[in-house]
Formats: sequence, C-alpha cells, structure tokens
Amino acid sequence: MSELSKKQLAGKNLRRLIKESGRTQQDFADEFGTDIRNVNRYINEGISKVEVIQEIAEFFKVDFGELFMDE
Amino acid sequence: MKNAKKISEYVEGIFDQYGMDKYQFFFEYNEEKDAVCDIPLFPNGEPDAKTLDRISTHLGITQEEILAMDPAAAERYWVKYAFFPLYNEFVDVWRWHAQFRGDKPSYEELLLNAIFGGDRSLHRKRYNLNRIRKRMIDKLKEIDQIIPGTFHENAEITNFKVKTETIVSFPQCTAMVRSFLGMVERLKILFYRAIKEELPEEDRNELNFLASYLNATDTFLPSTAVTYDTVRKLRTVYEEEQKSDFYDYVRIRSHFAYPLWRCQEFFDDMGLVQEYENIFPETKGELRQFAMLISKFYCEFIWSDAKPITFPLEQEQELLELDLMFGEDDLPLSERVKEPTHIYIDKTPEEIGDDGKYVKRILDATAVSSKGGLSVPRRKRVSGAEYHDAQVRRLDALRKDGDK
Repeated sequence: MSELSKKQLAGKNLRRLIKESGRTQQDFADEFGTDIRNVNRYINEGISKVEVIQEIAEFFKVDFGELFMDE
Repeated sequence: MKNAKKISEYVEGIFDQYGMDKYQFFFEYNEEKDAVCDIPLFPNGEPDAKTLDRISTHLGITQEEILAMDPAAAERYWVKYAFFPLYNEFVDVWRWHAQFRGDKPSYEELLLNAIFGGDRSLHRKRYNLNRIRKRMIDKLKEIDQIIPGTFHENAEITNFKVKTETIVSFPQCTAMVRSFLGMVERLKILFYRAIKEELPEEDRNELNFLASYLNATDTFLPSTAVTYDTVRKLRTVYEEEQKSDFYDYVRIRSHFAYPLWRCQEFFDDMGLVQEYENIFPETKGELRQFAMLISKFYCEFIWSDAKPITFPLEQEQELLELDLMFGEDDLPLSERVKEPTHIYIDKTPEEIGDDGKYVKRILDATAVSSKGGLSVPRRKRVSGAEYHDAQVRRLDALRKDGDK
C-alpha cells in the first residue's frame, strides 16, 4: 500500500472515530484543541505527520495501528 | 513634574504587582520606528484628568487614591483575593522546579560542585538523551512496519532535540484556583447587578479592576472591557437580548504566562478542573498537549536525506505572491530548510517518577469526552449577520450615551 493511501486511511479512521464518539467534527476540533480547517484537511486529504496520529490515538484511547485499519 | 514622576512610579508598581499588561499606559507601538517604545504615563508631564480617569478605571482605584499614592488602595485586591499572593508563589515554584536538563551537568553545576564539592543538581529532572535517542530509533522502525518510509535506513539523524514537561507540586494550588474562580464569580455578580442598578463606588471599582485583570470583554466587542461605565451604557442592549449564559455576554481571556493547571494538585479535584474549563474552553486542548509532554518525550530531528519543506499548492502560490510583492526571487527548492521529523516516545516509569500518579489522571481528563474526558462548554455560535447586528446595537448604544 502506498504512503498516500496510508495518509488517507488515517484520515478515514479519524472520521470513523469522531462519528463513533457521537461528536461532530467541530466538537472534535474544540476538544482536541485545533482549528476545524485542520480537521477537514485531516479527513479529506489524510494525515501524514506521525506525531499527529500519535496524538489522535492517545485522545481516542486507541492503538496507533487502529488509525490504519482498513475495513 | 516631580509629583507626576512619583505618581507614575506608584501606578507602574501596581501594574507590576498584579502582573497586568502595561501596554498603552507605559509603552505602545510606534509606527515610524516600527517598534514598541516607552511612553510617559502623563503625556503633558503633569497628571491630567483624562489619564487619571483611564488609570482609575483600569486599576479599580479612585483618582484621589492615585493622586495620594495610597498604599492601601494599591494592595486592596491583593488582600481581598488570596489568588494574587498565591499565584506569585506558584510562579516562583514553577520556574525553579519545572526545568529539565540532559544528564550532563551544566556549567553552573560544575562550578557549584567544584566550590562546594558533592554532586549537586540544579534541576529536578535529568534524562539520559542517548537512551531516548535509541528508543526513538526503535520506535521509528516499529512505525515503519505500519507506515513504510518512516525509518530511513541509510540516512543519519541530525539536529536531534528533545522537548518534554514535568509537573510540579504546589500544595496551595486548590486555594489559588478557588480564589481565582471566586474572582470570576464576583465579576459575574457585579456585571448583572450593574445591568439592573447603579453600584456604589467600591463595587464599581472592583468591577473595573476585575474586568481589566480578567481580560473580560463584551462578546461582540472584543476590545471593549466590561467596565462599570460600559455595562451601564449597554444595559438596555443586554436586557433586551435576554441571554441565559453569562459567556454569551462576556468573554474572559486567559493571559497567564504560567497557567494555573501547571501543577499536580490542580488535578486532585476534577470538579475544579471542569469549572476552570467552563471559563476557558481552550484549556482542554492546552492540557492535552501538556499531558502528551509530561508522559512522553517530543523528539525532533532531521533525516540527512530529508526532502526540503514544501507546502500545499495554495500556500506555495501565496508565498510566491509575497515574494513578488517584496521583489524577492523565489527560493529554489534545493535551498529550502529540510523537513523535520517529530515523534513522541513514551517515558519509562523511572523517567516519569513522581509525576506518575498524575499522568494517567491528566491523560484521562484530556481524552475524548465520550470516554470520560472533560467536556468543553459549548459557546453559542452566531452567524456573521447576527454577530454584525449585535455589534451595531452595542456601538449605537455606546455612541448614544456618549452624545448625552
């Protein structure tokens, strides 16, 4: 699987985690402490930075690898 | 003139004592010099009515007290709110203990130990940076299994840096935060009372001081503090709007260089943490980053074969336009700084040490609210048109009152 698709997978899983937590993307932005534009970018373009994925995993209390699950 | 100097020193002393921003009183931006420059408190060299009124409103003390340089007036809120002396103590504790260093002694420590002997450390925490680096390499290899290309097999790690935080103990933290919340509560009470009735001088002054100190401004006029006069001028607007939440009228902005949550005891009472969060919704995000840094090392480095930094197409275009505007050539890609890599490395129990029992508590508090994390208060979001209307209503009310 190419790096680009890994990025996209992380974005797709972020969207799933937000939905599963019963939150909107704006709620997530507020709780996580980031701008809604960043959240939109993560979801639509993917997440390439390892440290951001680590932070998201910690926030949702999931394993790092779960952000790369392909259903 | 001599008197003006003494009064100016008295006023500056109050600003310093409470740690209040002196901008526009003692210094301001000078457009010609393109720099922030000192300015005299009294532009004419003598105490004038306009300046005295500004200071009096900002500091919540009367003009007579300012002219008399009354020491009791300067101390009034310091004595009333335990928060102020405690916050001063807290900052001292934090500055001293929260530093961390690598395992090599600093020059000061070498000197100290050469003079007095022994093995003194000036820092509470010391970490072995070589071990952290080794663990970072292992982590990069581990992540490489999930995201190929994370580990650069034939490249060197350069410019390696580590950032982390420790959490200090400040036993009076709860008393400090409670007193702070008490100030916010008092502001609310005085604000609502000022809408309904004229306040006695003592309460007017206190409302003025709290509005300045807490950076409390009207929600729709972000540079207008909710001082007594402003609230009175806007009272009809406020009454007509019938908002249920205080924060729909007022915004309080944190200005602390050392936020109150930077100590262990803050997390002893999660109800208190939530109360603080309700005033400053951005706290959860800040706490989350703090939690990451006390539980982990944030490592930064540059792979020797890293690619130069590039930005999304839209931003690249903006940068190009800026270069054109300033008549500069676009920097060739090869000359740009190389992209740094960032990664978190978990601390071992030994590295976490005394912070251990608080780390889990803070990580839990900053997790998603559906899994027990703090909830972020929802401030009412208004459309651009609603915001504009609310702003116009306020400006009209302020103008009308000014015409009287």
